Amino acid sequence: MTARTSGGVRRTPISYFVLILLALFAGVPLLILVFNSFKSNLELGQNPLGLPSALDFDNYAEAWSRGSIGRGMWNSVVLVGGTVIGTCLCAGACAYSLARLDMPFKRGVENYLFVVISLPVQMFIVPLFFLWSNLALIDTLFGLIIIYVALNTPFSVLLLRTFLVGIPKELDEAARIDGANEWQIAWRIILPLARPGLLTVGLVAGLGAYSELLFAVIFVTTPEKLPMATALLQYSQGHTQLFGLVNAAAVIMTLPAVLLFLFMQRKFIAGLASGGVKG
Amino acid sequence: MVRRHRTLALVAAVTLLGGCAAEPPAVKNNTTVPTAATEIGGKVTMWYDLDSNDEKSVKEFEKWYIEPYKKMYPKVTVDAIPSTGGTLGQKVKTALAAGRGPDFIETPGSSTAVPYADAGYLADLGPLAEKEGWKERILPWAYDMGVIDGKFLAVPLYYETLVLFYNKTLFTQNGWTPPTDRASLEKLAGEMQAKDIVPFVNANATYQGATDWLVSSFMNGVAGPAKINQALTGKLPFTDQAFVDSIQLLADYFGKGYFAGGAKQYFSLQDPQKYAMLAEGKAGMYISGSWEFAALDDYFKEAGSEWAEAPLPPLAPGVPADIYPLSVGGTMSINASSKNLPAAAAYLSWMLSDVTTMWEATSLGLRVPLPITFTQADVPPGVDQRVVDHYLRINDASAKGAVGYTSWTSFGGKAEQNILENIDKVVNGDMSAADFCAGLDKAFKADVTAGLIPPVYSTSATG
Repeated sequence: MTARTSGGVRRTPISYFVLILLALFAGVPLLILVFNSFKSNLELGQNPLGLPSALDFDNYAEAWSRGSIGRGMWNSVVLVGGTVIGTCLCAGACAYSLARLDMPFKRGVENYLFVVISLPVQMFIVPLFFLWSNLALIDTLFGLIIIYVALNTPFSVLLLRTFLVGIPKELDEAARIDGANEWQIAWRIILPLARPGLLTVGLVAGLGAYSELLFAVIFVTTPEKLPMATALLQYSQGHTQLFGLVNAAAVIMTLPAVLLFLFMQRKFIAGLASGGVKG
Repeated sequence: MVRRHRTLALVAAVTLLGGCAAEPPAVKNNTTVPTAATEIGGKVTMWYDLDSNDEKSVKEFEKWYIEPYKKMYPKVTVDAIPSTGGTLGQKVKTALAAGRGPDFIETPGSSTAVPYADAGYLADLGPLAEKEGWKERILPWAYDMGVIDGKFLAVPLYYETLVLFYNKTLFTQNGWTPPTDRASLEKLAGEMQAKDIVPFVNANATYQGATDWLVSSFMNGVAGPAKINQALTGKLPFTDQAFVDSIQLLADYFGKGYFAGGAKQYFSLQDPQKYAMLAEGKAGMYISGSWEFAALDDYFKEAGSEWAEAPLPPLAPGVPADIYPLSVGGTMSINASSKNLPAAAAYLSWMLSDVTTMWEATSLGLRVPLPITFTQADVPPGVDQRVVDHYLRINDASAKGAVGYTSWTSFGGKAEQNILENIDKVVNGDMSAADFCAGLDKAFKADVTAGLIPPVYSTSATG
């Protein structure tokens, strides 16, 4: 008799085989990336898939200084923090209005948000640059945070709205009977219940801001203000890529995102599943 | 190359989008010729391309490209901001389309400068060029590339040529010499294959456009520069048998396994593998351009061998030897909306006159030399003599007019895109050489109609 997990999947040799295969499919490229981060250029060419001949950390040291990763990391922390807070506030307020309040044109607003999500961002880069330039927001992290919040809010609103719709209306009514105003209902009753949804929104927006490149390289000009994602642009020599440094930098950059996901994956997946919207 | 191709595709789109935000600035006036150094002051902004923007690299750049200028013009403040990873073009295009942008406009080549000129972003440098004698100082073909619609608008920044790199150590061990014609090339390739050595280590897995280097090499080697010139000036279609023969010979060589050992390997070999193969003597030769010096140095030093380069051999009767297919790897112009034209003009004048500083910077690998005349005496000690010889040979060929063409610099954007999209089909045997040339001809004519053909310089390479 084969064991059955709580999820209902039987522990058969075939399921183990499939799972191991999938784990290798996901893990081997990362493993090769780590191996290659220790190799010199010539060794990388001679042996692009195997173990490194020695654990030489020179690539890491050079990648760190050449890519100004320490400086970039701090800028990324500011950008991610600002984006997460801004997106949660904007999307939370908007989703609450759509899900809990009796507002006109709700359907129209939702359709509008769906359309906005599908628009390519390249369409509005030039007018935005013009506007940001006039508002003195070019070359500021604050200007970039506003853009990231605006980019992430439409999807986040739809995700949170679906989440909030599932919370029983009776809770609002009970709070109103107890004398709570709309702000108190939202802040003290509904949004705390939507914490898994907000966490998912925060993760999606945070990871988006962490890896965003297009707006970062156009709207920030001073090297001191560039985020960590731009570090990967620092490892070329003329027209040739310095692959050893690129691999080392990629390992450094991937680490925070992987750790964050590993620690929070249950809440992240639960939030997405209960929101009913796929990222 | 990577930057150039990436940029080409976006120029038109962003220029169009610019209309949403601001009217393109009209050229206010011609650049004024610099007056006395003490009379020039104010601030100029420069966005420049750099491999890395870490503190050390930025300081090095400023030491060689800003400080000497500021020494001459002490009242000028230069706001110099580096861009890395090929992002400069995108940044400049967006800023210009939004009615902003720095005082200097750097482009990855003449093909990008043409739409900028059409949009009125570039100041006319003609009077300054005449006063400063730039026509005599800049190599003739490179100067011609900067003349758009009869005005000198773009100063060529870098220049490149296609050559035959080879493993000198391997050649010495086997008593081989670089091929000088088709027969000697095929004989050498056969000998290499008999020893399990890949004749040419070219591959395009890392950069798909690398096949473009082969297209340009074979067009210059088989059809010859004179016929390319005729095609670029509308006197001959690209469907001419000479061009069909060029592409057919390239396809035949792929069929023989000359490149990377076969089409399958050609499409899968990454840059580190190909450099390692060449440095270790598992491959003998490599058709590529001047941009390879630094990369080859790294791999060959580690492998303990030596590289060398030679001109591409002519591959058909009537095509002369020692021809250099040339390209401008970048241009610098002055923003027509610049508020400080005198200081910007003074910078260009300094840049084109200080040859020693230019070579000092080259020796550090900061930039490659400008296409200007120089002699061995101008080069400070410490610069790799192979690099100096390379540029001296190009300059000599330029003076004689023995120059060829590269598709990414001299063909229009649509023609170039057509090459990039279809040449892999020829390599795979999915498209005939005649069909490829017919498509190229159609795309080139569309470029002509749109006025997007870069300036065509002349050649005396008639064989």
